[in-house]
Amino acid sequence: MNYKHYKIELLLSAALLFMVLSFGYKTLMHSSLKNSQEDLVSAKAQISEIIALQELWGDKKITKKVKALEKVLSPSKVASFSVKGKKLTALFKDMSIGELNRLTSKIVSLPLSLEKFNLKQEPNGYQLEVKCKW
Amino acid sequence: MNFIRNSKRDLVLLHNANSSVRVSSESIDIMLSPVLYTLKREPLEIKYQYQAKKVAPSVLDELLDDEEYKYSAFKDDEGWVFIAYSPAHITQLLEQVGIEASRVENIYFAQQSAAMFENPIAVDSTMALGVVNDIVTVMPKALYGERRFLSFDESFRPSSGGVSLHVESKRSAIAKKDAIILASIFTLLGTIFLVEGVGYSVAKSNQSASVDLLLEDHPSLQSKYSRESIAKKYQKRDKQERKKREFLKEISSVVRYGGKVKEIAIEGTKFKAKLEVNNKNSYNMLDKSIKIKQIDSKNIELEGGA
Repeated sequence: MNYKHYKIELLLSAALLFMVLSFGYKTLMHSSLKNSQEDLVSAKAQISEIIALQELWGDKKITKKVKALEKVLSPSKVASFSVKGKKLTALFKDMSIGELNRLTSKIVSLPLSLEKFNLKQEPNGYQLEVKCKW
Repeated sequence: MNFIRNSKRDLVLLHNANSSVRVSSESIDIMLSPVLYTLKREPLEIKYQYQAKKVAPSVLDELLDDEEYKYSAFKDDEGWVFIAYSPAHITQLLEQVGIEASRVENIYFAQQSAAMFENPIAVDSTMALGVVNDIVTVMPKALYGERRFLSFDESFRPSSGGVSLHVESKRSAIAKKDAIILASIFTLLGTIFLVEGVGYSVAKSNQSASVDLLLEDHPSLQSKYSRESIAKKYQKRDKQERKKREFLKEISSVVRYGGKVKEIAIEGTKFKAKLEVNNKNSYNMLDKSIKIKQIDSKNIELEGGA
């Protein structure tokens, strides 16, 4: 077969093929960009969320803030207060409702895992037993 | 317009139906003998060839009959040479000598190589091509006496371009002109698509830069699996601790409406609270996830979990 006889058709076919391939490439790139954008948005949201969670629950200055809980009430109200490693065990007694509110607000504002939070109303006031870790 | 140019095309001198034509290449170029075109030389003040081509019909008008002609023009030392030729006549002649018109790539005119015809070329047994007054002319061989005739070969190919016969191949389903227009459109669209595609590709590589920047400060989050593992760990803790704090918040809302806390017990994921309340209004706004147990008219027990 002599290709010169079909050079017009060949030329046209080559141009058509070029257009079709370019269109395919464009479509592929567009869809790839769209997928990548979706992945990126989700990855960005996930990373931001993890960073926020890490900053909240992985605060390295938390031990200092936990130790400060001992000073929230007068020493007579603190029956026991022990910080070992990343665990707090404390017993507060004879608290008025105001003192209880103050202490509870402080505890819940800290990023601590409350393992035990036992509050009882006693004749002399409220007694609170707290066990938490971070 | 030649898209596939073949420098090995044979150059054939076409004179009349008796011309002996030997062709080895598939495509050929032909040089027309003066009997196949009408020529007039005019020293006109024309600068460009396209302008000369435009005026050619009027220059040659009085020399031509009613047949359909095409025109060509080129410049030589003495001015513009205007040429008229009949594609139909040439096509017919080509068929007579056994050449398909579609095989013809370029047509040249003997006048374009006038200098080469200073030595006469025999076109048949009685006639020869020679130059008279700088015009290539057909003359009887007898006029040259005993002079030796040269043979026509590749050296006669003019340096200036030829014209096209504008005959489509019988095998072509589409006209050359239409094919060129379509091919141009396809190529243009293809280029646009390609540029767009490259644009998308560049945009894709640029957009990942913002995440890379975020990950630079947190290299431990670079892997998707480690991200998922860390997220799972913190999300569980966050969810449980938020539930505990929400439970305490709900209790404080009851207290605001006059309730009194008797007992709160949060252990692990179970929460319980006993409260003394004045009326139902103080606790009917509690979150639906909290179970309310009425102990007596004044005391209630709340239960929740993480």
